[in-house]
Amino acid sequence: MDDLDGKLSALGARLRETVHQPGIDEVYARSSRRSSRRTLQLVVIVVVAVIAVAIPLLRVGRSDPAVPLPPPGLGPKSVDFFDATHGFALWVNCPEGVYRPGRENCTRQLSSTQDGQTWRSVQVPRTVPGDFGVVQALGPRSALVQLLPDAPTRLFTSDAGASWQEVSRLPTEGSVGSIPDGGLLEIKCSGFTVPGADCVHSPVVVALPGSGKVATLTTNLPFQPTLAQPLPDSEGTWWLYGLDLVTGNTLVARSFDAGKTWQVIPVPGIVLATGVRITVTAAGSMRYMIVTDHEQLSSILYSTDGGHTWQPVSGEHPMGVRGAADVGTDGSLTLWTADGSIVSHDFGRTFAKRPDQPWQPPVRTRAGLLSFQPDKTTVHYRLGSASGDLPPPS
Amino acid sequence: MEEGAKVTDEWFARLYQTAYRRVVVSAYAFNGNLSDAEEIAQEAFAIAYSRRRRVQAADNPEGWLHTVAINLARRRWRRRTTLDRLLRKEIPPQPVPPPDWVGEHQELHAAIRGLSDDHRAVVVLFYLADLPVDEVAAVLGIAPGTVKSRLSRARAALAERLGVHSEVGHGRS
Repeated sequence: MDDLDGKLSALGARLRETVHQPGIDEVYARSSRRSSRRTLQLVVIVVVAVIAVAIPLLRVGRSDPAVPLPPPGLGPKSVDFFDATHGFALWVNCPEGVYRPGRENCTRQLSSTQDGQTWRSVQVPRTVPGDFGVVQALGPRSALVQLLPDAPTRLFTSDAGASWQEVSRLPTEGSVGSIPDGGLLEIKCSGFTVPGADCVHSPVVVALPGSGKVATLTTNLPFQPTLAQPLPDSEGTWWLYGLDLVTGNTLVARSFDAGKTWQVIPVPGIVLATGVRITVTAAGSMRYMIVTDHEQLSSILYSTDGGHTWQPVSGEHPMGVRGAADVGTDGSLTLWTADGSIVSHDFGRTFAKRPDQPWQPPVRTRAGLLSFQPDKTTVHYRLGSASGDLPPPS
Repeated sequence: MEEGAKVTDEWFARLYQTAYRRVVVSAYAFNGNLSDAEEIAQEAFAIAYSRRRRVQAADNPEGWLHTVAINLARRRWRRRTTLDRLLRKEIPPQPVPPPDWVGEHQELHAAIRGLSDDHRAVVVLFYLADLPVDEVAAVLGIAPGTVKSRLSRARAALAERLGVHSEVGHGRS
């Protein structure tokens, strides 16, 4: 047996012979135990859900006040800018100014600006339960509006809200070789996936700016991405995150050419799981990778060579971080917490309070970081070098 | 028992008989412990039995089982490494051969163990678990062409380490 194929075949046969195969009755018994366990889990979930629903209802019965929505002057639900002068804001209005579970008829209004100064508002043509709402700019007059966290469809407008189309979040538009200008990078099934689920081979997809519909992005990645950064970092690099099927380690892929080619980088110290979100933020060759787990900051990594190699930052991280992180031109890292903004000049190891406190935690847009400063009649905003006022819709 | 259920159970028994050892080997490739791999394969078959009608209707029921087993192995491996990191232990060792293996088998096993993760995965699934290229591609979520190119490079690396002759091609497809 000189050739390699022969040796490998013999090894395979030997390995399979070594395996002990119990009778199929053991599979039936295990399956039965599994079903019993799952039934018990289901019962526990139902009981917990009933208790979770019952407690707020009991409180309502005692006339506790409902959770008030912020008045319009306190800011819109979601804002996104395509560039410095073209932006969108989504407002949620509930009856009597409050959102109360069970009284599910809140309406949404979309404001848009074409010059960064004057705003025009229209009604979003759907009423759905809850007070959720996210707007994502795909072009100067194009936007996607998501009305429910896990809805299979979104609303798309290409004329700043004059007309609307309901579009699927699943890939219906074939495949594309790169991410077009204005596109969003997504994973069909976002988050982590479980064994045997339909999402095991979930494709990387792109929301197309012309239609809001979704196409599969052709990649030849050697690992399964489970998480996508929807927008590129401020240096124009796109990022995907996933698991090495063999080792279980987290792998990161970056693309400098809008998704045509991807480069895989091993990144230490990150464990992907349900609820984990990763964002790379950049300035020059400085990069920070901010990892949150269920809204809590779990890891900070930094790179001084444009994201080629990464170092995890050890020690305690700030609690209650909100909004997007910001990298200064000097390489400093600014985060926003419940107590205001904090800055680090040692790659995220230690933080000190910043003097410029009043602005709300920013959101990241294609046009840079966007911050709010609401007062009683309007919302002041600033976006990189641009700034203006956003009056609430009448 | 109704006729349809009986047919499905007979089908499942045949699937268990023919595919079980290959599924164990797939899991073994990812966690390196044969008794753990047997446990994982049992769990995969138990899941498959609880969803047997859906699995029977799948394009490739055995491929489904390999995917579930590998995901279970991966999840256990990740849980174990996370726990070990938390407890400051060393990372679990790579696959070790069963203790009664000697000579040629042990040498080849060691050579496979020395391959990169990507190359080891395709070698184990193709040669040891005896899966065709298309199924290896589906299980790993990569293109069949990628499987073939990795197999070629892995074979070349193995041949060099073992000092044996390596034919071009993979014999099966």
